Amino acid sequence: MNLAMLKPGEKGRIAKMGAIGPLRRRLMDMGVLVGEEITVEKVAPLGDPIEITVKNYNLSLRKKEAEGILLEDPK
Amino acid sequence: MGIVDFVLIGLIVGGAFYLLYRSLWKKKGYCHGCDSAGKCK
Amino acid sequence: MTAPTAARSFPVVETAVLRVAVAGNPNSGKSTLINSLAGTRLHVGNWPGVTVEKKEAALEHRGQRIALIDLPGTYSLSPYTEEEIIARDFLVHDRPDIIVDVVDATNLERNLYLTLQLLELGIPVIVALNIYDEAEKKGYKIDVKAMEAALGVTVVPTVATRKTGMNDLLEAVTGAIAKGSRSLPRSQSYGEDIEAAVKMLTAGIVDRHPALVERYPRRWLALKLMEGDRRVLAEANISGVDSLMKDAVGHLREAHGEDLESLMADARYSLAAGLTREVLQRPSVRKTEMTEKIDRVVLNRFLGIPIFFAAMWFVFKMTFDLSAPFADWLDGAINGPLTRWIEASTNLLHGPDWLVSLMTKGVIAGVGSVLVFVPVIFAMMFFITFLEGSGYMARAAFVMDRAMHSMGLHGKSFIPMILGFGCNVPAQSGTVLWSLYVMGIVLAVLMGILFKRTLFRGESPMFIMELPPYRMPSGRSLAIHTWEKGKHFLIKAGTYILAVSVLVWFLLNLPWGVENKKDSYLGKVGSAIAPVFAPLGFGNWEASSSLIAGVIAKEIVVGTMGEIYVRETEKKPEGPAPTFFEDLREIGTSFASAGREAFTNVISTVGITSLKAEEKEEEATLRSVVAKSFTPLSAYAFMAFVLLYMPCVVAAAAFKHEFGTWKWFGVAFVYQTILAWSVAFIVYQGGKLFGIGG
Repeated sequence: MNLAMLKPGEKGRIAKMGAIGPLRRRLMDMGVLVGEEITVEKVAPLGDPIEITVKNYNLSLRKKEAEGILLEDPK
Repeated sequence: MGIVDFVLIGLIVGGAFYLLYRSLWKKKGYCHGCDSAGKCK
Repeated sequence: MTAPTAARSFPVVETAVLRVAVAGNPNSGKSTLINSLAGTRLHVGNWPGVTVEKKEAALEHRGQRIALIDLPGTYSLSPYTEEEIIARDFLVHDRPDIIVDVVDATNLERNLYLTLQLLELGIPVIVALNIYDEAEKKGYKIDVKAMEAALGVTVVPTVATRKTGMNDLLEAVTGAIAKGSRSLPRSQSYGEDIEAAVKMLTAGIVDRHPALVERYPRRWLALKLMEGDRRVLAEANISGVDSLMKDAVGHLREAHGEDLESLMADARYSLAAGLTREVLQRPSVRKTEMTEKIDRVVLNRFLGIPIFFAAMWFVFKMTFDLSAPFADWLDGAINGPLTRWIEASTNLLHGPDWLVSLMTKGVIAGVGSVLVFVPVIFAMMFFITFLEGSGYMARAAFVMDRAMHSMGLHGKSFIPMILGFGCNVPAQSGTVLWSLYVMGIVLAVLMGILFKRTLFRGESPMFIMELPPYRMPSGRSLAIHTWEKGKHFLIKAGTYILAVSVLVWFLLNLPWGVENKKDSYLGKVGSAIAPVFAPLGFGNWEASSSLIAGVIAKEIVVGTMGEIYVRETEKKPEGPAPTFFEDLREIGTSFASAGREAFTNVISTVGITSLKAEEKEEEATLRSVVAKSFTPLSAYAFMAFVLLYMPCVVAAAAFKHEFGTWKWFGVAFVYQTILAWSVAFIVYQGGKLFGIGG
């Protein structure tokens, strides 16, 4: 289960950060951390990128980048 | 055309080259106004 | 020198200038805050070697001289992005006396993450709790006192857009300096494990690498080494497997895996989250915010793209409607009164005839035809600034990124591509009608693909981008940034475009007294090269001469054309020439009517009326003269060529400085020229084949 699989309106909690290097650090600096709750708000009209809410603000990232963010399995 | 004209022309052309040198070469090719667009490389 | 009063009230303060670095997240209103603090004393330049903007201002508060230095907006001080590296290098190596950290009160936790990193530096910090009004409007209650106590720094609520709290901020800055070392922030604890490791590392560094202690703040250095910060490791010449590192962080690595960078990010964020919980009370019921409502429409699946194009069209139309009357006014003023004045004053000083010609047919015709674009450039920069400042730019990038990404470009590059085009704007809007822009975009996209596939292969940059709340940019900020962006165009006109205009005039008039411009040196060279361009539809000497001169910079193509096609019959045949004051009055009234026309244009922007007006105005301008030697199709081809044929402005110098050799420049030159020729060829011959405008 990763962030790119969520549909708009769905929520998830980050279980693991699969990204590496600068991308990983950048995500972490923006508050995308393990244990954080993330909501997917929108998908861009052309299907990519997506808009998410994390730590109470809006962030956009490409699906490719979202794939590296693994989520806890929903109970 | 007298000597004065030649001196004047020399000064003007020299000035133009100096201006060109100063504004372009010494700026290390940094392009003003390009930074907002796709970089002009 | 500091005024004596200041020396008396703050005895600790030296007479030196207080260096204040302003740091903060992007979208925290840092830029507006700087503008509010600095007012007209703002100086905008670039950080050495890069195109990142550097703002500075010299202020005085209570006799204390202050040098404000604006750091690039960053979310962190990681070693990865250009902005972050600039910010941290400045903080660490240039050691400002104090840091003003601009914190977005509506987004406390993420902003505090940076604050915590700033506190690690051992430099006094003042927090400007900005956008305070919006936070209050949202129902946020921030306990400023508690925040001060927890961070150990002064916190000043500010609303930069309304200039609220600016004086308090300056008071806090000078006050902190008066307190001397007592104003140093308390160091925050990242938890026992980390602190123990920091302690060991610090001791080890002092012991084994004493030279480093001179160069870096100790705690910061220890933390960075722990994170495995590649830049610091390299600079300090310490390897990650150094015995010192092993001793200090070995157990951390065992417990948390190799990745201490995320351990640190976690530690900082949990601290930031804790602080936020402590000082911030959010209302339990969250109301739907305006930004959310707007985004529902603007980023809508079906409406998003049409809205984007509508917005672009609108901006585009507004730019031209607004600027066209002023461009015509400027054109009239330059070619009419200004030319007459220069002629008259040169004659008055008994200047030779050739000097008059140089001034009017060289400088005025050359620089003037470029200057006519000043209104367009400024209008365009105004709208770009507005889009950036309002928050729509980020949405546009969001909407268009997929399309742009498949061409190897970042979503953000779309708007500049459409509107700005950097150096190409004047050349574009100049020679032919603005419908050509569309082709410009297509070509730029093509070029993007080509470059992506050939010269600049590599990873496309990441897209992670904040979508900030929509905000109304303040008039002051709009004005400042529009001016800063547009200013460069004026600088160009006053420097190399002027210089080239002069040189081109000589080349057009040598051998001395040549009757026909075609027989001048430039004309001869142009004629010699012209056949090369014949298959592209512009095989005349005028076009090729302009292209030669334009190698220096694209605007010069327009300038040179202005000189070649200089209007001979500008003098008023009937009656005596108007006096200086009549001219002045005429300029004034025509400016006023240009203003009126721009206004009506904007009002009727959706109508076709203004377009008609534009067509009518064509008659008087350079465009119409040029149009005689171009068909619409060959004009298109010419445009394509100009757009592509040469790496923009003095790429030569850039290449030389970058690679130290001419070889790569030569390669790029040949490559682009061939590319430009091919594209223009396809445009012209293809167009003829389909019988368009031939």
